[in-house]
Amino acid sequence: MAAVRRNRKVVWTLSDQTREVTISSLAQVPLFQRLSPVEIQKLEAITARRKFAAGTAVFFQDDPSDSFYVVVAGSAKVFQTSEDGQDRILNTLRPGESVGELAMIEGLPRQLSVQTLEETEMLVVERKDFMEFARQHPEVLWKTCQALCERVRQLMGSVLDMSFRDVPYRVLQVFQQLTQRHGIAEGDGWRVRLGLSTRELASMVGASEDSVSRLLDRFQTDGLLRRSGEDWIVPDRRALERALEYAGQ
Amino acid sequence: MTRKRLLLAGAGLGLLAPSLALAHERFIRHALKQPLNDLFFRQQPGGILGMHPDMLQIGILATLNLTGFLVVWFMRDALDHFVRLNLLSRLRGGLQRTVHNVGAFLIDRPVRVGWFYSFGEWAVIMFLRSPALVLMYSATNDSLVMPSYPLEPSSATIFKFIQVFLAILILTQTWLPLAGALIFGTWIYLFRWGPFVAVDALPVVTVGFVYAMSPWQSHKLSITRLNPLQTRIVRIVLGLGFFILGWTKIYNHDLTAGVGDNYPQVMNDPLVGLFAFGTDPALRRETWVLSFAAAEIMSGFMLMTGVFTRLWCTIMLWVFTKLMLVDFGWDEIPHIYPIGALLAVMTSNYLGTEFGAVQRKEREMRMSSPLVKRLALVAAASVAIAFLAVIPMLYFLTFTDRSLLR
Repeated sequence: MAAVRRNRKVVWTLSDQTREVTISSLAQVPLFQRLSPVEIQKLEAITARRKFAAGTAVFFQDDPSDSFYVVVAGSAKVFQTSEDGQDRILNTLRPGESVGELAMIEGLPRQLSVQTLEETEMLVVERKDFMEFARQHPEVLWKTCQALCERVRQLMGSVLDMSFRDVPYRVLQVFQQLTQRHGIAEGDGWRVRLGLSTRELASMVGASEDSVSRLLDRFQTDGLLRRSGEDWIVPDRRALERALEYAGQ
Repeated sequence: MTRKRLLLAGAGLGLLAPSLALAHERFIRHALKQPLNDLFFRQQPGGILGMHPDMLQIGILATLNLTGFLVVWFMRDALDHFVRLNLLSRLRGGLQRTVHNVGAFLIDRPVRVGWFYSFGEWAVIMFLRSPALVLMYSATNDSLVMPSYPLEPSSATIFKFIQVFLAILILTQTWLPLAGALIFGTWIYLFRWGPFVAVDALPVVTVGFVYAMSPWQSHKLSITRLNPLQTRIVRIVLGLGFFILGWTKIYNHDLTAGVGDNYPQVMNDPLVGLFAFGTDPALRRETWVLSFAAAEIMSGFMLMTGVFTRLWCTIMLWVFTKLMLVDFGWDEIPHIYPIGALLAVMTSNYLGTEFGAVQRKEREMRMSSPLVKRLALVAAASVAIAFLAVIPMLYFLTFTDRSLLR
């Protein structure tokens, strides 16, 4: 057992096996891919692990950006809430993906909320520790820059889709991304176990719940999708991709 | 302000100039039942800072109270961090979100809930339109803007019509910049009867700023939100009004005590009771005046500077509603206007603070300094701010001559 000391108090006690998992999770994070094994170990020393039950908010919009998170296991949704309380899901997170690092560097209140979709384990790095680490390893800031550029590109693509693509295309695209990112291959197709409701799908697509509900019925009739309890099943990924191509024409 | 708006402000002033508010005494009963000990409020030989010990105690308690609120305010990020890690993380789903929203309400962060947003829209509509109700009420009571300022009979009719015209502009949201100019003009005109009269009406001016900042096509728009600048102006002016009114309550202590004599139930207030705790029972009315004023000074100061704005708005809403419905009755119905203003500020998601510098320093220090050092900085800043907000003016008032008031 090894005790990790931070802020003059023991914040976590990890077994060697858990440390290995943490190190391997950190090494997978795009932000830290250029770091050497020794540097990853140093990073591990300022990292804590936290488990969140399903449906727990990791942080809320407008909270201070005092830490960033890396998903080790499970999944979470990233969403924005408008002033009148309407949620819009922007993204879903899967193992290896990080969230909160850009807001943390900027130091301004968070612009997004993150809520787990299932039991999720995350690594947490506090702002002051990360800033100190980044001072010693400036290449991390370059990677952060790259991540920022990627986010901007994603956002621009999303704006373009919202402006020029119709709702059926956007619904199919969301399912294509969900299958790629969270789909589990099973006998009857690709299962997405995120428990996403029609309302949440509508918020991801940026359309009304009614219109998305009608489209989901249509796609189920066409055999592109199937509902199984709280999960969604894509019986044939290639058929979904073809439908997306046609919808995009 | 554009030249056109300045001209309109001048026109408003000119229109209302001939109206005469003959008296500016409070509309509610305020005759003293027995004389107050005037010496209590004056310089005392041998006392610390020349103050009566009970006066000094109330001043120190108000300063300490203010210091406590400021310390918690400046450390709220650290407290929020603790609550998030130790309480919020144990909850989930809707309950977690509700607790988060309650916390956000208490520390003036945006509250992103549908009903709160709708309530905020309603509050802004009430805030922007309630002055029309006050004007209509004044017109039917032969007074100017508030029942405290009776109109001269010879010119009352024309100014009653002007007030009704202004009320119609406000109710229909037509030419709001003109409505704003008329309100500013009226307020400046009130200085004719001295600064106390104008200060008494200062809260009314807040809406004038919002009207003046509205577009001329206001009747075509549904104005249901205040922008960050409007929210800040309304908060500062409203708070400043209460802050100055608190000091005038000490200066004009006979009037304040007279209201207490006629409405003894207003003397029962927990915060006022706290300030007066342990003071000489023989000076109950004198210490009540001081404690009552200190409570108003403190709440006005915190509203003005944006420290727990929502909390203080809620407390003041309670006080005003109680004054209107329980203590004074229909005489205080114009209080519907500050209630609208407080609701509009309370439901705003654009609340800021005027102590950004201390807050920024504390956040910077979180990166490198231990909690004790941050706490020391915050405590020193809070003591200095609270002391400057209360003690110098209290000391200054012990030298003032009140004979002019009688």
